[in-house]
Amino acid sequence: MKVRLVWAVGVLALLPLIGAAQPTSKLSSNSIKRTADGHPDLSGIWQFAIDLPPVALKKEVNGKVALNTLDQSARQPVRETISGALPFTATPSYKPEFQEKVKDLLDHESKTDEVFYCGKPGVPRIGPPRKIVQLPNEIIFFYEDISGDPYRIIPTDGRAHRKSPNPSYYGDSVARWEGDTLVIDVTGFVDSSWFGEEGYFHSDAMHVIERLWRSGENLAYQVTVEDPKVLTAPWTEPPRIIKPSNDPLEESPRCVETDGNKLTNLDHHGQR
Amino acid sequence: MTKRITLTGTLTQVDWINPHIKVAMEVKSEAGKVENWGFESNPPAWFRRVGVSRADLAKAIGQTVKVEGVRAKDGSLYGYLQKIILPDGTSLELVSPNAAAEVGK
Repeated sequence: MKVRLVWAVGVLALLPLIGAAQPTSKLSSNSIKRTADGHPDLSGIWQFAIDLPPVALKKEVNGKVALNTLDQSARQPVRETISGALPFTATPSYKPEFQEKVKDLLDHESKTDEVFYCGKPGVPRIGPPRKIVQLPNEIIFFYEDISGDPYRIIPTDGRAHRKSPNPSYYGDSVARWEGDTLVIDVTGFVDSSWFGEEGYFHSDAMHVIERLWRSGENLAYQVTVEDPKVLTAPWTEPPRIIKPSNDPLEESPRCVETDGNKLTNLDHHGQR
Repeated sequence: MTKRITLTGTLTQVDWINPHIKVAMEVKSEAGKVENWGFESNPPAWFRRVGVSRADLAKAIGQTVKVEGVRAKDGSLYGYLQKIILPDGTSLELVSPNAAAEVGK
């Protein structure tokens, strides 16, 4: 209890400083929807942000042709600076002794990537949530993923991380508000997941910071990955902009990967 | 690089599973032998978001369909479904997004 109190007091003391240092989106802060406690309301259903094949469906019925395309903008990083975002780089910086390993994992991803075989992507690879339920002392994230439909219940009441949580793919999360930005601190990861599709492995020391804020009617999402065992510096990814969605969540069908033995090359795409 | 094939046969099964939907069909070979072919295609989440459900395909189980796909390189009776023409003539095809311009012409 004492530790929690000290942590909470420390955070409260730092808040004005952190807020002053953050390029938060004050210009639009008056227009965004807020909860009763004054924080931006992040609740809602958000656009699907899992990687899907970049093809369209051409449907022809009685000679009438329609083309149904996907909006995968929630999956794409925003390359330009957006209000509220931290400075970012396109790729992480691995220590020299690990750079060859990253390339090797990427080159052999159909054999080395757990996600290829229905494994959990974990945080942060799963990306932004599909649905957010924001309550006074916790915020709940729901996801739809090929591996299943995980959820995260994230305290926002100032508590510290659990002591010695069992390693997991989605980690141990606690969150706080820095101005109008929800900052989620995540630790306690397994060391077998990747934090990006490009062979971005990590150690058990990975520490992830997710930032979510309102960008007009949209949700902005940005991740920083720290892993002093394998990275030369923390990596802040390009932010993403996620649009609101009317598409309700649906249970993801079971995942059974059966064609791994049919692959004649080692990358994920173009294997047939 | 890849071998595109076209088969006509009886649709026998539609599995709406991740990471790829799967369909099975019986195809009579030139020698008259019935072969059991399997095809996978895009993930269920993709089909859902382009407006296709399992029922759209499953309603053709037991009926004749025409499938175009890319055959597995190991030569097995397996492939990646690119196009299916259902008994009522409805055609569903995976195409490049750039095809939008062509459709609009």
